[in-house]
Amino acid sequence: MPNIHRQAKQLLDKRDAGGSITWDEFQLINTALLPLGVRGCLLPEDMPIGDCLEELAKLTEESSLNIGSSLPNKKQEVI
Amino acid sequence: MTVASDLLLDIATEKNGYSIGKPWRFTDFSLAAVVPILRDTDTRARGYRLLSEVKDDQVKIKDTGHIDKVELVNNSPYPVLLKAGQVVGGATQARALSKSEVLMPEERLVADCVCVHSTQGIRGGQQVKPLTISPSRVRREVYRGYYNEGGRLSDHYYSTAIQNRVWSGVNEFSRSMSMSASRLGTFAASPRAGDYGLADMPRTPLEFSTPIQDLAGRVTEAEDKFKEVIKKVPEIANQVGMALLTVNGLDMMDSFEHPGSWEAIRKEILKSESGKISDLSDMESVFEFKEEKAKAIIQELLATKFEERAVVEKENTATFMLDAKRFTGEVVALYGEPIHCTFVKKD
Repeated sequence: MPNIHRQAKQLLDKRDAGGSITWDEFQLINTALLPLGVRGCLLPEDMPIGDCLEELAKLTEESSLNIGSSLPNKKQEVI
Repeated sequence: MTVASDLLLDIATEKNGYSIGKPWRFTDFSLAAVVPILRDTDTRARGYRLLSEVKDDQVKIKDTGHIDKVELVNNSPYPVLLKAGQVVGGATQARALSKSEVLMPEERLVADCVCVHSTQGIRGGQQVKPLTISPSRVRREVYRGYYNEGGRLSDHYYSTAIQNRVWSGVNEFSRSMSMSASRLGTFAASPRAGDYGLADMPRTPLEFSTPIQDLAGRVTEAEDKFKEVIKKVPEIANQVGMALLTVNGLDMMDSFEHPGSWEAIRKEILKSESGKISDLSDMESVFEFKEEKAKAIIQELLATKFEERAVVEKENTATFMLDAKRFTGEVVALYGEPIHCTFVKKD
């Protein structure tokens, strides 16, 4: 599953490097930033948006790894 | 890339010269803060002027005789930015323009508008002039005209459908200004006033003499009633706009691409929002203001899904209405570059 926060961070990096983004990509960034609008978001309030996305991307990757390790191994189930 | 997303990203991520400045509050217990939007600009000249900057005879504005239309003709050599909520009036009913739009030289435009003085009659054919800028409380009602019955952005402006709401917004704004002025007067007379440089505030009557239906009158009077407040708002080099934060979060934001435009409109915006800026509702300092949170609140503007609709598309200029869950606003582009954005809280 794609990591939306990672994708958004890459889009901001692309833009910082002089590239342009589309309206759909802008919407993807907005969606990726939704956790920042959640009351009690644990990220520091003075953290730049790009760094916030990097942190959110890492959190998503860590949590998906944890979920992955707790899922049954499909190959074993077949056997 | 669209100009709207470009400008929003530039401001929120502080790129392309934009930065979000230090919040300022009227007192250390005020729960409202003015946050400057800054931009390091090059020496590029501004390619346009605001309506208030050009002489009356250069942009002729005429009452069409219809409540929802005024006619403008630009005889100046500049493209002229008409700002949504710009109030025009004179010897006829005062109106507020419904959307921001650039009027090119020699262009004639019959613009959508709403009435902002319900008890004043219409005199068709009368020349009118720019008076002031509507406060965010009224602008949010003005923008409702761009929403259809399903709550989605529309190309069409439904001025008659929202006229009553605009009048209600004007009345509510006027009442809130009266309350703020009264509170300010009480505070100025208290022993604490000296701590905030208000001990010498003139004891002029703080009651407004204009009727509550008269938006321009109220804003004009605010210049006197809230003089000590407006005077204290810092003037900052390279400021291109401001956001107003209240206890409910981001209340409004207005920004341009060039400091010259902000300088031209600054006083009118501060007058319109002076009641909110002079917040004195927490004199016991029950709540804590977190300065470091201010920037994050503005950046949260990005943390929402936007709908965009072009409501003006001309050869060299365009205006895009933007709708999000909590905000409505617009971005104006001239020669393909964003020159202005504004957002107001929906309710």
